[in-house]
Amino acid sequence: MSGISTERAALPGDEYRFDHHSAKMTSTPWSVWARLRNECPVAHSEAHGGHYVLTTYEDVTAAATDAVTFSSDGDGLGVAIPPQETRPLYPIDADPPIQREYRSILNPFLSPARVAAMEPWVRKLARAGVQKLPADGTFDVAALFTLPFPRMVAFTLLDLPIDELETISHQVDIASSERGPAGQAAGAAIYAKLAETIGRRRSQDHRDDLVGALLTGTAEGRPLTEQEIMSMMLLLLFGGLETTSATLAAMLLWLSDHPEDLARMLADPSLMKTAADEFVRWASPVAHIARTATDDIEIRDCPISKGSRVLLSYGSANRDTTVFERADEVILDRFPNRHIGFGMGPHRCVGSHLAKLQIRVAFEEFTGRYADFEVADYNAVRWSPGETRYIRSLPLTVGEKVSR
Amino acid sequence: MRVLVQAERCQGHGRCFIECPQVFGSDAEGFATVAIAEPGAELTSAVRRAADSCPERAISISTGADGRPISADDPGRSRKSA
Repeated sequence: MSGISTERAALPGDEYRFDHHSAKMTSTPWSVWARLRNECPVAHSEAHGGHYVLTTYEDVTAAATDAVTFSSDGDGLGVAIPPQETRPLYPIDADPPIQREYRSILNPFLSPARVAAMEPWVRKLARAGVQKLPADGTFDVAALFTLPFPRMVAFTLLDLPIDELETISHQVDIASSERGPAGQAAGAAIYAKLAETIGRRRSQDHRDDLVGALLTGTAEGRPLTEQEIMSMMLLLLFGGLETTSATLAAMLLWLSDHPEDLARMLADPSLMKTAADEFVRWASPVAHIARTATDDIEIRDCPISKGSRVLLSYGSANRDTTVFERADEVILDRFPNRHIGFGMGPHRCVGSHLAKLQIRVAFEEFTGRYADFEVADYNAVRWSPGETRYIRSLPLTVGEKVSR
Repeated sequence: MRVLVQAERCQGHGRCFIECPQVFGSDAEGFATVAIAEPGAELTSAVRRAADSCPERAISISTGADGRPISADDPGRSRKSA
């Protein structure tokens, strides 16, 4: 086809060169999101094979709650752009009706009532984690507490071997920070540990917990396959780690910067009723998640063809100033707070109640020990790259409470 | 006042029974249930807070006899069944 230009005309939004994996989107995404919300709410990007990105609360929530038009399965592509190596992960990469069936297996074990009953052992883990921290001075609270604590909770939930939790936690560290062979080896070790747990539990009497539910669960009238069981365990494991850590670290960062809010929360524990959700909104660990359009559609007069990949920016929706007044501030008693930090629609985070329990208990145990804390070095605060936005390094200087 | 949770909208966020545990509860899976379908007037403000707290706008409140809605339920939001 000589003489004919094969260069595609740029689509609206291309000029912003949006890339959710770029360093600036990891550490300082807010102005990029605001610019798109205000100038190009339905933007195309050529990054990662080409996709659209929605940034307004209105469009993002409409897409998240419409699982028919916006598929999570996406013919195997799943909910990450570019597609995750480990996929499909269930139920996140599935669509109703089978997605509903998967959720029916998991929901009862992470329901508000079940989670409330978990408080004693979750608190034990939080207290143990806090006790291990230095009495005073400076340390990285992310490495020493906000990253490990949710891991211990998840490992316990999934009945991983108690005497190996520290080792597995270390492997999670490596798997999430190293891309090369070391990271892959750590990932394989974790996978093997989950498989070993499934094997051990199969040989034992049935127990009424999450693993037991997976081993006896059915979908489409037949038992779950090995792949489905492993896939769900992987998602339960990884889905609640960095996300919960993100909100814990963001909470400590905000309270370090705003002692007036720390004082309010200590004076009135009932504030946590609204504050936990507000920290989730503000932190928005799941900053972006993808869908695939199952039909030719139009959003704000922008045509999106069937099969297009559409990135939903939950992080941007949660900072939409047309919906949230003083959106960039944590307002402890913000109400209403219909944030999308835990998602919306059928894929609403199955662990949301457990996440909020961890937030409350971690706050209580941490402030139970330390009278005050502040960021030691803002230049050393580090964010992670990738799908989930979280603080991986947060040096705090703390002072212990003096008992009278 | 008549309170209704639209089951096809509820996704189990669990915000409603935090705001108004007298009227809203949760089933085994965490989806909302209504303990008192016609709560007394003294619960109006708590019920409205519960409705306003729902990210899915799954709670509707209507007045007595004529059934006229008094709580916001976004009619413009398309809701595909799935």
